[in-house]
Amino acid sequence: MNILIYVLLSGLLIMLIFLNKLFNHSQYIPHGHCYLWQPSLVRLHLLADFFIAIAYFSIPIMLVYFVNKRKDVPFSKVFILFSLFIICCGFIHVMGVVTLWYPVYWLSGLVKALTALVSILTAFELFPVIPLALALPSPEKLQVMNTELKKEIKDKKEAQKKLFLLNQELEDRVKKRTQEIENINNYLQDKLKIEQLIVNISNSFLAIQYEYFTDHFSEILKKISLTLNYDHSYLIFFESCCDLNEQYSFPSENETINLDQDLPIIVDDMQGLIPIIYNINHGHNHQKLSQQPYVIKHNINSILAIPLVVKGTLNGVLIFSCRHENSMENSVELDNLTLIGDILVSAIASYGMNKKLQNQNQELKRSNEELEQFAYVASHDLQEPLRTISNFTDILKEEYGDIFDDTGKEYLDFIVSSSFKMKLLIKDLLALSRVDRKQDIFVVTNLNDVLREVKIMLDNAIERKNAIIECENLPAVQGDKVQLTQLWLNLISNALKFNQLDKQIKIKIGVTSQDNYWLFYIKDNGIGIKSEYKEKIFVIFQRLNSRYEGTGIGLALCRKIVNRHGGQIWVDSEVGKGSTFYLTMPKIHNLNFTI
Amino acid sequence: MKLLNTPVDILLVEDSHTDIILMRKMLSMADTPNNLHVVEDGVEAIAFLRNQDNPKPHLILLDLNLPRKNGREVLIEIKKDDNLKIIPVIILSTSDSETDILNCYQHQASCYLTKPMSLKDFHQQIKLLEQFWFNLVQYPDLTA
Repeated sequence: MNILIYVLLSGLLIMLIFLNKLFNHSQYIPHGHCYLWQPSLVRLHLLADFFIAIAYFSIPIMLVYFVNKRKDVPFSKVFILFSLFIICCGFIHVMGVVTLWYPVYWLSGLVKALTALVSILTAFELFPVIPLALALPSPEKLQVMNTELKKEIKDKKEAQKKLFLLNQELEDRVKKRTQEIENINNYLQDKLKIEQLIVNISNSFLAIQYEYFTDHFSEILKKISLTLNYDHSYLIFFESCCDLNEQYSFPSENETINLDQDLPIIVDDMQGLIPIIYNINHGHNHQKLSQQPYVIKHNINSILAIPLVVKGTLNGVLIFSCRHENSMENSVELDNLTLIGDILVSAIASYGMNKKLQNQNQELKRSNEELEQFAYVASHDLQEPLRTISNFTDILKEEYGDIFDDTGKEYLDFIVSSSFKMKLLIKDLLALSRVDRKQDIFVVTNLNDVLREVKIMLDNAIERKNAIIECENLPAVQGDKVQLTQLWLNLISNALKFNQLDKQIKIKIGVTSQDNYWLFYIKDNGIGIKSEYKEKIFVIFQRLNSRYEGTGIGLALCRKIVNRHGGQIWVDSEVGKGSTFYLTMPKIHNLNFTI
Repeated sequence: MKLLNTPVDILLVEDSHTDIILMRKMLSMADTPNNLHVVEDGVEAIAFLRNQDNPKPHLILLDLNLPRKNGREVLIEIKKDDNLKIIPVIILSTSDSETDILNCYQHQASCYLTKPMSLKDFHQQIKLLEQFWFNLVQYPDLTA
C-alpha cells in the first residue's frame, strides 16, 4: 500500500517536475529578443504564424469532412493522418507565436517532436499508397471508360430487348400451348361429362319404378340440358306407346314445338335415320331452317336432332337447341346423344313390355281370384241345401220308412248316396279353392310326422286292402302342415284305390336330393295310367275310370298344393305295372335354420 | 249354479227353416227341459236380447250367415254389451274356414261348432252339447 502510494506520489512528483520543466521559461530568452523587439518584425512573425495556424487548423476539418462524406474515396486512413499532421504543423506555428513572448522552448520542442512523429507516420503510410494512387484512373481514362460503359449498356439493353422479345414469344407459345391443353382438357371433361350422363341415364332407368316412368323423361331431358348446356330439349314420339305422352320438353314451360309446322325440315331429314347437327348461322344449307318460326322466335343458333328408331322405322325425335354456337366436338356429341336415344328407345320398349305383362298379370290374378272366390262361395252355399237334403232323407227313412215300399226305399238310398258323393265333391272343391286363399303360414314341417298321421287316417283302408307301405326317412320342408297332410293323403289314397285286384298293394315312398330341392316319389303297383292322360289327371274334374269312386279333384288339389310350396308334380306310369308320382320341393335354406 | 231341473232358456239365431226344425226336433228329445227361442236374423237377435220382457237366455246358438246383420256382428255387439257379454255364445256354422273360426274366438265366442253333414252326427252333437252345457257347466245366478 505504502509502496503504491510512494509510486503514485513519486510519479506525481516526476510529473510535476516534468511539467515545471515544460512550462519553465525563466531561464530562456523569448524569441522576440531575436527580433530585437522590433515591433514590425514581431508583428510580421506574429501574423504570419497566426494565419498559418488558422489555415492549418481549417484544412484538416475540410479533409475530415470530405473523407466523411466521400466514403468511396480510397486511402481514407492517409487522409486522416494528413489531417493530424497538418494540425500538428498548426500547433508548431501557435508555439511560434507563444515563444515570441514566453520562451517555453521545451513545450515547443515537444510539439515539434510530436509533429515529426506524425509526419514520419504519414510518410510511411503514404509510401505504399503511391502506386495505388497512381493506378487510379485519370479523368480522360474515365471518359473513355464511360463511353465504353455506355456502349456496353446500350448493347446490354439491346440484348435485353431481344431477350424480352424472346421471352414474349416463349410466353405466347406457352399460352398457346396452355390454351391447347385447356381445350383438350375441356374436351375430355365434356366427353367425360357426357359419358357420365349416359351412365347416369342408363342407371336411372334400371332404378326407376314403373309407376314413375312417364315423369322420368322430363327428368332426363333436364339432366341432358343442364349437363350439355342446351336451352331447350324435346322428346317427341310419333306414335305414343302405352300411356306415355307424345311430347316431353325441358324447360317444361316451353311452348311446345309443332314439328310439322315449326321444324318440318328436321322431320324430313330424320327420315334418313341419321342424327344431324344444324349450325344455323354458319351453314348455308340451313337457310331454310333459319326461316322456321321456332328458330326465329327463340333466336336459335344450333339444333341437334336424334332420330328414335324402333325396328328400322322412325318412331320419334330427340331435339336439342341452343342460342349459342355449339362448341362440343360434333361427332362425339352426336354419337353419345344417339346412344342416349337408343337407351330411351329400349327403355320404352321394356316399359311397354313390362306394362303389358303387368296388365296381363293383373288380369290373370284377378280372374284367378274371382275363380277361387266363386269356387269358395259356390261350394259353401252348396253345402247348406245338401245338408238339408241328406238330413231330411235320414229323417224320412227313420220316421216314415214304413210308408215306403222297397222301390221307394231304394230311391231314398239313391238320394242318400248321391248327397254323400256331392258332399265329398264339395269338400274337395272347397279344399282346392282354399289352397291359395290361406295366408302363408309356412313352418318347418317334418314329413315323417305327416306320413305317420296320414297312415293313421288311412289305417282302415290299409288293413282292409292288406297293403304294404314302405317309407324312407324323409326330410323336413318349409310348408303348410295341413296342406302337406292333404297332399300325401290324396297321393296314398290314390295308390290304395287304383290297385290291381289280383296283386298285393305295394307302395314305396322315397326321396332323392337334388341341387336346391328334394325329389320325392311315391311308387305303386296299381293299374297305371295311359301316357296320354299323364297331364290330364292333374286337371280338375278329369276322371279316367268310373269304376273307381272319386271327385276328380284330388290330383288337381295335389298339384295346387305342390305349386304353392314352390314345387312341381308329375307322373311316370306304365299301364298294368303301376305309377310313380314325382314331386319336388325346395330345400330349407341352411341359413334360415342355424338357430 | 247348475241347471239341473230349471228349464234352460236357449236363443237360437238361425235363418234356415229346416235347421230350425231340426234343432227343435233334437232339443225336444233332450232330457233336460228347455225353452227354445228362435229369431231369424241378427237384428232380431239383438232386439230380443235387449227387450226386458224376454227371458235372458242361458245360452245363445248363433249361426254366422244371417240376413241383415250377420253372426259376427251379433257376436261383437253381444260381447260389447255389459249386460249380455256373460252369456255363452256357441257358434253353429256350416263354415269350417280357419278365418271364421279364429275370428269368432277372437271375439270371445264360447265355442265353435260346424254343422254336421249327417243326421246321425247332428244327433250326436246335440247330445254332447246337452251333456256339457245343460248338465256340466256352472252358470252365474242372474236372478240373484
